[in-house]
Amino acid sequence: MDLLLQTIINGIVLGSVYAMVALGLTLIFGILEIPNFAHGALYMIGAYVAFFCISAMGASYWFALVISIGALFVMGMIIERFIYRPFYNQPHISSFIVAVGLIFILENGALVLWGADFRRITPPSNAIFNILGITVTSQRLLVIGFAALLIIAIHFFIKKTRLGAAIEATSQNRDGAQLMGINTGLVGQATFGLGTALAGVAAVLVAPILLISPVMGESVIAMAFVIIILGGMGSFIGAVIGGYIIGLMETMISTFVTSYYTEALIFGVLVVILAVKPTGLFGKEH
Amino acid sequence: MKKTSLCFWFFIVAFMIFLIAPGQTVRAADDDVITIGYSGPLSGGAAKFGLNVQWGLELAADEINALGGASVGGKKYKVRVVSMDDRFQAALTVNNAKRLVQKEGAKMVYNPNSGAIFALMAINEKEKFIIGAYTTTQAVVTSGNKLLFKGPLPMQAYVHAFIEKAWAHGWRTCAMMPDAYEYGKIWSGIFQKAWQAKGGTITTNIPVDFMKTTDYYPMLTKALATKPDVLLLGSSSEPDAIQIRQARELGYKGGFILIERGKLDEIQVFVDNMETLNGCIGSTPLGMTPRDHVKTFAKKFHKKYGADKPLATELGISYANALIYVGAMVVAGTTTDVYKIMDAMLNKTKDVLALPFVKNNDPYGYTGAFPNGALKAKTFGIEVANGKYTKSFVIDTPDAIYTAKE
Repeated sequence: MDLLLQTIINGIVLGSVYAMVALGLTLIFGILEIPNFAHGALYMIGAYVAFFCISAMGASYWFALVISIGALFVMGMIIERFIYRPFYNQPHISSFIVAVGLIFILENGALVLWGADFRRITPPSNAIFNILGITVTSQRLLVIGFAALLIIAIHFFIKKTRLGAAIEATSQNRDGAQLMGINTGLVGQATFGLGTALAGVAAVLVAPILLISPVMGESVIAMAFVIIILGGMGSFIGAVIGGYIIGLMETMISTFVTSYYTEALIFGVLVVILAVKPTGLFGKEH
Repeated sequence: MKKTSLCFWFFIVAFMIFLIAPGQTVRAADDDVITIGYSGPLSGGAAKFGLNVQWGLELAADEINALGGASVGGKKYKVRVVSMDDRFQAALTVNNAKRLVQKEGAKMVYNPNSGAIFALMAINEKEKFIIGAYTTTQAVVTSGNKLLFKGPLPMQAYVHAFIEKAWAHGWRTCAMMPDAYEYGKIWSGIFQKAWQAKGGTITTNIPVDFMKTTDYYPMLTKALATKPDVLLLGSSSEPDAIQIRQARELGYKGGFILIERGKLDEIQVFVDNMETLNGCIGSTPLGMTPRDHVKTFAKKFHKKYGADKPLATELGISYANALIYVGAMVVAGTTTDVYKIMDAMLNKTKDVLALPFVKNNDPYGYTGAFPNGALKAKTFGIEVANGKYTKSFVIDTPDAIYTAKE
C-alpha cells in the first residue's frame, strides 16, 4: 500500500464531505449573516431520515437519499421562516442563541426519539477497488464523485439561473435586492433549504462509511466552521477549496505527524492565515 | 423596552425555578428508602454505556423491592435509584454527586468514569458517601480511600490474559490504537510494558477519539503501514466494529486484541459476517459466559427493556454491585453508617454474598473482596476463529493483581 497516495485519497474523501457541508453552511451564511450553528445537527437528522427510510420502509439507498434531501430542504425552509427570520432585525446575539437552542433541541430530540445506540446503513455496493497500491471502496468513490458533481451543479445554478442570481443578490445586499423586486423572503427560504439539503446529502453519503449517532454532526460542524472562516464567510469557492484543503490537511497530519494534536494544528494554521488575510482566503472585505 | 425587560426577567426567574425545583420536591432522607445515586453519561457518545450501567442498578432495585424490600436492622426498606447525566465530564459528576448525597439522601454514588471517580475521591470521605467505582483502573483502590468499592476486575487481568493468547498465535508485532482518553492511556501503557517485557514489538501508538472521529481510514492506514501481526483496538463496540471492517477493507489479515470496553456480541451486529472477526481476542460477552444466573438475569433485562437489546457486561456488574451494596447494609444493620457498611462489604463479604437476594441473582459470580475495596470475581475471555466463537477461557486473576500498588 502506497502510504502517501492512500493518504491523499483519504484526504479527498474527507475533503469532499467537508466541502459539501461547508458549502451549505456558507450559502446559508450569505442569507443569515451568522453561521447556522445547528447545521451539524441537521446533517445528523439527514442521516437518521435515510436510516429510517431504509430500515422501517425497506427503501433502497438511493430512494432514501432522495427522501432525505427533500425532508431536509423542507426543514431548512421551515427553520428559516419560523425560527430565524423573526430575529433578522435583532442584534446578532439573538440569532446565535436561537441557533444553539436549536442544536440542543435537535440532538436531544434525536437521543430521546431514537436512543443513544449507533445505527448503521449498509452501502449500496460493497465493491472494493485496489488501484496503484491504494484501496478505495465504492462508497468512498461515490462520496468523491457526488461531491464534485454537486459542487459543479450548484455553481452553474447560482451563476446561470435566475433563482441563483437572486440568491447571490440577496446574500450581497438584502435591501438592494428587495428594491430590485426580488422576493427576499422566498429566496432566503430557498437558500436555507438548499444549504440544509446539502448537509443531508453529505450525511447520507458518509453514513455507510461510519456510524449514525445523535452526536455525529458535532465534529463535522466544528471543521465546517474552520473551513468557512478559512475560505471566507459567504464565499462559494472559499468553502469548496477550504473543504478540500482542510480534509487533506487533517488526513496528512494525522497520518504523518500525530493524531493527538490534529485539531490544534489545523486551528493553528487557521490563526496564521487569518493573521495575514483576516477575511479568509476568498472572503470579501466587510 | 420596558415590556422586553419584564419578559426577560420573567424567563430568568422561571428558568431558575426550573433548575432548583427538582431538588426541592424530593425529601432529603426518607425513612423507609435506600437511595442509590448514579451519575453517568446519559447523553452523548457514551450514552448507551451509561444507560446500561443505570439499568443494571435499577434492575437490582426492582429485584429487592419485588421481595418486599431489604430488611435492615429489623425494618423494611425499599430501594430506589436516582440517576443524573454527567456527559462523562468529571466536573458535572462532582456536582451531581453533591446533589445526590445532599438532596436525595444517597449514601452511595455509582459512577463509570475513572476520571470522575478520582474527582469524587477528593470529596467523598468528607461528604461521607460511598463511591461505587465502575472502572478497571487499579489506581482507585491504591490511595487508601476508605469509602470506595470497585466492581470490575483490574485491567491488568485482561492485559495479561489477552497477551498470552496473542503470543500463542505467534504474534510478536502490535500496532496500538487505544482510545484517546484516560482509560486508553492507562490500558495501553500497561499493555506496552507487558508486551515489550515478553520480547514483542510495539510498532506504533495511535490513540483514537472514537466519539469525535469522522473517518478511521487515516489512522488505520498509518497503523497498517507498520505491518503489525495484531492490532490493539480500544474504542466502544460499534466504532471497534467499523475499525475492524475497514482494516479488512484495507487488506489487513492479522488479529485484533479488543480492550474490554468493546464487546464482541455488540461488534458482531455491525460487521457483515463472523469471518471478518477471525483473529479477535476479547472479553466474553456476559450472555455467553458460563456463569450461574446469567440466563435468568437476561430474561429479566429483556422483559423490562426490550428483547432487542444486547446483554451488556456492564449491566451484570452494576446489578451485582447494587445487590452487594444493599446486602452490606443488611449485614451491617444500618443504612446510614457508611463506615459500618463498607466494613461489612469488605470484611464480612461471605455473609453478604450468602444473603439469598445476592446469592440467587448475582450473574457476575463475585466470590470475595479485598480490604482496598476491590471486589473479586472470575472473568472470561473469548476468541473468534473460523467464523465462530471459541470456548471461553478463564481469565486467571491471582490476588496479587487485586492488591497491586499500581
